[in-house]
Amino acid sequence: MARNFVAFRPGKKHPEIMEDLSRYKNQSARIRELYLLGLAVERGEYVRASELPKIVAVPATAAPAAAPAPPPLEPAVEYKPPEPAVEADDDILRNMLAGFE
Amino acid sequence: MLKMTVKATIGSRTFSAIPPAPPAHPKRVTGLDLGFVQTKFVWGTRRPQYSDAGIMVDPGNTCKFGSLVKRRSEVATEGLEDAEGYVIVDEHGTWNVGSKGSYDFTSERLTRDSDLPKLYTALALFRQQTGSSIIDLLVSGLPVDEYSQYRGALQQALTGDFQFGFGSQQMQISVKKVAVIPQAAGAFYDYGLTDDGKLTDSPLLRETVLVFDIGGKTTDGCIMEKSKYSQDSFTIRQGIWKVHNELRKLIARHYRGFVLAPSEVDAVMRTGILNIGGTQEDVTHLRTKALETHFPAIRDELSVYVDDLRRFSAILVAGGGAALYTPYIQSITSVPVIQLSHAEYSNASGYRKYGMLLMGA
Repeated sequence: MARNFVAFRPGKKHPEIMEDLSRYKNQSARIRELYLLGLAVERGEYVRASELPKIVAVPATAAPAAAPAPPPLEPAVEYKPPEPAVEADDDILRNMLAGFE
Repeated sequence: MLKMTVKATIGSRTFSAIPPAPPAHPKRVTGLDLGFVQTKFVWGTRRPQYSDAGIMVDPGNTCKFGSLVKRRSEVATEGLEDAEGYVIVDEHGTWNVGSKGSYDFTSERLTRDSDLPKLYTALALFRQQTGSSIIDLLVSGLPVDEYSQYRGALQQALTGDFQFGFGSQQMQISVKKVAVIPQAAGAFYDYGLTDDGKLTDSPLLRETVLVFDIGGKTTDGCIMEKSKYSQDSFTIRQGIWKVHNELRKLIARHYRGFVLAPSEVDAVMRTGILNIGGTQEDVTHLRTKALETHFPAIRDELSVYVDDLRRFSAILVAGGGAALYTPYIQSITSVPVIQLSHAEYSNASGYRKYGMLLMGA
């Protein structure tokens, strides 16, 4: 965990935060990591663990819910709508002469 | 007998041919638009030409005049003997034809004595310019919502042998056959057919389009699906004439009671210039206000008939109100809005082209 966290802000080790993190040693490391990283990124700064919201305990073995895959930014294959049947000139003329009632 | 020979050279080969003689009795096919403000009559392919100053220098194969018909006695009473217009004499009296506009609303066309002089004036101008006293096919139109009810009456009123006086001349003109179609369909045919009634190469002929014909009294919405008339077509009871009235009110308010004559408001709408007290006043801001006041009524009524304009590949705008209202229509939709060229004539011109199509079919 600590290794990952420090790697997120390379070159910047913060002993105070490392200490806070150590208080959560009984929690799922993955959960702590996500919370900390999320908040840190959102606020643009490191936060103290005491300021973090209470972490809901989840079984350590529970697999994180799989997030739905985001839609691709660009379709892999360009979509082409089906081309309408081209009306022959005779059909168009027939339509023009079809009357109005 | 003189024969003209035409020679053409392609590469090293020369061809010669005698051009075919014109038919002895060429068919006369015409389009008549009995507009509320103006009557337009078209019998050929030449469009009117205007100078840079907006003065007509060549009428082409067309004529246009105001739709107001008044008894000559009324004109004399009002001191308008020298007013612009034509004099028609028929069995019902002497008439002055040609002023623009009328407050006389009626759903019936050419079914009253006072309507016929409009037809006579159109026929007389045709006779004067072509020398022909026979029309083989005349095509005219009615608003969509009047079409079923009044088509027969109009067809009957337009067909036959007509005798009347045009100024000092006696006229005898025969209309052999008449077809009546919904008004805005005429504008579509003007767009979709060539002058001799053949298909143009426009891809919109194979799409669903809305033809929006903004006339004096009504606005017709004609839906064409692959060039076939749809029964979902409709008529909005709003026209440019209400904008005219709004402009007159605004001018009266702005210039302290100045009353603009109904026959003059059309010119002010077109130019945005008002001649008052010997000076020319720019009234474009009042014109814009009149248009903006009136457009919501058209927009709201349009939304009753069409849920989503995006069902159309394009909107074609025709009629006397086209030039002024096209930007407003474009402002409410992302669908391309196309103002037809010679939008004012597009109905009459399209009627004629449809007639050419019928003759060739």
